[in-house]
Amino acid sequence: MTETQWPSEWLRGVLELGTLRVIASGPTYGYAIAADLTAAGLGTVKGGTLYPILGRLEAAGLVDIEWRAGDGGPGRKYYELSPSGRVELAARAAEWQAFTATTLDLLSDGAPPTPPRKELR
Amino acid sequence: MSTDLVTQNWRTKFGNALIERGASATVIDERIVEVEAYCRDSGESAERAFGPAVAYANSLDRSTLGAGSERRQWAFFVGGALCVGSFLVLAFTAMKPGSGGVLPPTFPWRWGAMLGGALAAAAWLLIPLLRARGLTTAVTTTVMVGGPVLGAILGWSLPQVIGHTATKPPVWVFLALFVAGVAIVTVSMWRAVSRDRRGGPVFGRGRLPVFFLAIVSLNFVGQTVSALLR
Repeated sequence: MTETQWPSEWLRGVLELGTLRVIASGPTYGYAIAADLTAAGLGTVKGGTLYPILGRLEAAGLVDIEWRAGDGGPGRKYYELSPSGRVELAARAAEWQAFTATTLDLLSDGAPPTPPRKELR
Repeated sequence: MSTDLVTQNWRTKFGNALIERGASATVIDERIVEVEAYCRDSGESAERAFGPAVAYANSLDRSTLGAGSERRQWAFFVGGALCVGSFLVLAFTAMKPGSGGVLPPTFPWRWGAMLGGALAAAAWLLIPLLRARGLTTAVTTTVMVGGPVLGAILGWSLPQVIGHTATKPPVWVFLALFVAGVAIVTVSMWRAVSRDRRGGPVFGRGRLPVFFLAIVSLNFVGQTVSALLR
């Protein structure tokens, strides 16, 4: 299957939410999160893109972390959604669905609604 | 453990860039371990998965670096400056004109070297604050270069002014000088080396002035001890 590469500005808007959703499935670690996001169709997510997001989620208290020993290698940092992370995910997911529905309405059949225009003086 | 996927060069650049941003040693350790684990899992090199080390370090939010708050950094700077300042005052006080002093005024280049190192170290302490305020590398470089130059000028002029009025100090001054010297060496070393628990120490180029000050301080400690033993 050919992997779709979405415009980076679109990904910037959705990647944090997508990461929260992946972590909501259970404790997981960096590369597994990147692989899940790729499998979900968001394209290749590099470590350099993912870890700053994970860092922000951690700093905001939306994820809990746990270091686990690696198998003969460096330890692994596991991420798990915190209670406030679950609340945040639900809220953001609802907002995103409303946003995408609005966008779909705009792009689907018929002309876009005409916004009130300001008169130029 | 240093894997082939994360080269020593990448690690050093990354660690140094994080140090420049005020990251704590623990956070630097964790970030490097994250990179190692990701590279091992993905089979990608750090350069490929994370891009250039410095760019990646700069992309991390400051809130995630475990860097001290600005207030804490100011406290550290003031503490460090007081330490350096106290050391200099004590050193000047301990100086006795003619023979018998810790540093006779007939060697002004030593004062220049010491003051230059002290001012450069003070400037180094300021760098995280300067960067946090958006000042450019050019400004911080100017401060770093200006410190030694100012130190050299003061080194030539101050002994002429202070040296002639100094009196022989009591023993406690020597002891205080010794303590201040040891404190400076300890703090300098602690700040200068961020020890990565798997890959050895990470040295920052910006640490050189502090090492210089540490060496000068050790010189003073040695001379103080020999003065006490006389």
